[in-house]
Amino acid sequence: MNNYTPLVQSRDLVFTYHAGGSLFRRAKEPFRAVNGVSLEICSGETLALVGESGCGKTTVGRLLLRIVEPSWGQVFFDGQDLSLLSGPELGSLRKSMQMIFQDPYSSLNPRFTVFRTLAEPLRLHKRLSGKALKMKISSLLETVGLSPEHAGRYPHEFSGGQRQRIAIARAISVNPRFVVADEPVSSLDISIQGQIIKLLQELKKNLHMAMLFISHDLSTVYMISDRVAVMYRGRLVELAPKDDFYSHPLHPYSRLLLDSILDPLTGKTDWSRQKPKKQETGTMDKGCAFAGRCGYAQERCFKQSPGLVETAPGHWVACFHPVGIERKIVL
Amino acid sequence: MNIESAQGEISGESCLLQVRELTVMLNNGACAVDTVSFDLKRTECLALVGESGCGKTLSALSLLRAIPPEIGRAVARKISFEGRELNDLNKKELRQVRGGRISMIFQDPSTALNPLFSVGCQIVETIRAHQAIQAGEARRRAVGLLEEAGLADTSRILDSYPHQLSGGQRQRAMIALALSTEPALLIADEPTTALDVTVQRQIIDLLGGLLASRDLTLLLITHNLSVVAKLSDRVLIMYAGQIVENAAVTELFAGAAHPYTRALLGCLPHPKSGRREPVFIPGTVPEPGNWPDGCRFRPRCLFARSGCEGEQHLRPFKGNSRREVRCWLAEELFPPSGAEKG
Repeated sequence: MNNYTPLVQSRDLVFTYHAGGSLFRRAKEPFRAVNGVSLEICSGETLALVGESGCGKTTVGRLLLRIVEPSWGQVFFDGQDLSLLSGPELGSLRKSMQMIFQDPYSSLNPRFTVFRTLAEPLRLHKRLSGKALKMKISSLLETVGLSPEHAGRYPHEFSGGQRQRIAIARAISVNPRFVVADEPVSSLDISIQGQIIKLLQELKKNLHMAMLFISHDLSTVYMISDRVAVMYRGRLVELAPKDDFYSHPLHPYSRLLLDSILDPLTGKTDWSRQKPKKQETGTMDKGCAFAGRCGYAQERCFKQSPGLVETAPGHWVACFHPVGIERKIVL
Repeated sequence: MNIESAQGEISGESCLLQVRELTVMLNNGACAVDTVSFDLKRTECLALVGESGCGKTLSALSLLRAIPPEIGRAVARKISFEGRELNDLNKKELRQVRGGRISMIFQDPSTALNPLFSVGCQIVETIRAHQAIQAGEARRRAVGLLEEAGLADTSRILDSYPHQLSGGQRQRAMIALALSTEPALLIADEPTTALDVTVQRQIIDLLGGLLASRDLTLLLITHNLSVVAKLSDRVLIMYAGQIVENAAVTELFAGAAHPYTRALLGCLPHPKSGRREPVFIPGTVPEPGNWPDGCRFRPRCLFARSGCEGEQHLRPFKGNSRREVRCWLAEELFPPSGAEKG
């Protein structure tokens, strides 16, 4: 999968902001929401970015689309450094990069009909109008499982799942080559989530897009991703092909996440496998960010920060003591 | 509307809460909760499960008579709590029950706590609203409650404002606040949904521990069947304002009786299953006011056939008086398996 050049590539992305200061005084040290994230996504590939809230996963998605400017580091799209592009150049690239948001209730303009919502990017990027525009919108609605007569309705007339379909239609309308899907199913009902996952799977197959699938739910990620990247406090701690990740997670944090999944049929987890550990401590200046919660942490973990090391082809982990125990989840 | 007999009557003493024919009408004329009846035994954990708009939260809020008048109105033939009829209470008596004998924790602890007061202040105020004790004594109790909720460094947390705490800490503080009046019934509305997975499991463990250590009855409202499996004894599955299945949790996971429950259980993804194809229920969750006639799940049901258009009643499943289902085909579709418990 990685034997051709990646479509999207980030190098040492850092995003900082000032927090912890008071109204008139800045905090001395800026907070690094994203700290040295490098990753690659190829066409037709889905990379899942997983982590707890506040770990910086959404910010990485925004940085890759250059919705926010990185404090440090570069993003390459199809070989071009996004930070060197001027406004108009970036504008023309925009149609190749789209985003799907978590909450379809706030990502659609309530005062626009579905037609107007979908027409705007098509007019802007594809210069469509009149009959061609109508045809395109009808076919888009069918692609995402809605019917052409829905075009005249407003968002409030739709359910959450249908709204997310509209948001997806808007994102794919300009034939993007890269889509960032930020928790696209987590605000939907369980019986509906599968519908949207299936739609995304189909689109991925048919449109050959690169996708960054941001999620906190490892059971959903299992169905859609090709590779999984785990973030903890702004850093990538593990990056692995999907099957590798689910069968041999190496980072203690990845194991914690996997073990936290409740088996829906029994309500049981593998919690007992996890060494119990004291509650989260404050931010640490040095050392591995996870050391405070890690059952395997040793002295070195509190002093030095581990870098990403490739332990098997394509399987990277940032840990001094990767968990060596073989675990088979996928039978 | 039909009158439904609830699950086999539980004898008066062990029954903490009895709800009969609870109906919530929204102000737009739609019926959001349709003649729901259930019993809650002491020290039992009852889960109310369903998707958005099925009426589970409104059912719980109506127990506290806490449905905002701008949203709708609840009526019930009977809501009896600890032998008292909640419908007959005057405002003052209601205030003692609400937040006193019945307390509630919410999905999002960051909006449920008052951002302008410290955690300690809120707990002390709650304790003193329900009991005539000195502030110092109330503060000592608050420390104990925070410890019971699994918080370390309690003196710092007492003086912290909600925004200074993490999501998990806030939910723990919320639980301490809810326990501060020694409630008999705790209503937990999606207590883990807004939290991270690793924190979710801590909160589930905490609630499980409290159920074991206190004389507490829990009404758990959730859409998450894994949480149900972990915590509850009995499950009510709601769909489109009605209870469609009522079963002990072991019975439910051994074999659900309603096609909706079956489908819902089937939707849950888990890496262990090795399944890569998502499973879902076709169609959309109907909204109040748009419910189909007859069986409300019919348009999305795999097994729907002619005959399902008729009104469906909640009825005992396979003659088991405490197990009920609202599907006339249940026995035929899901013939009894060996795994049955009383």
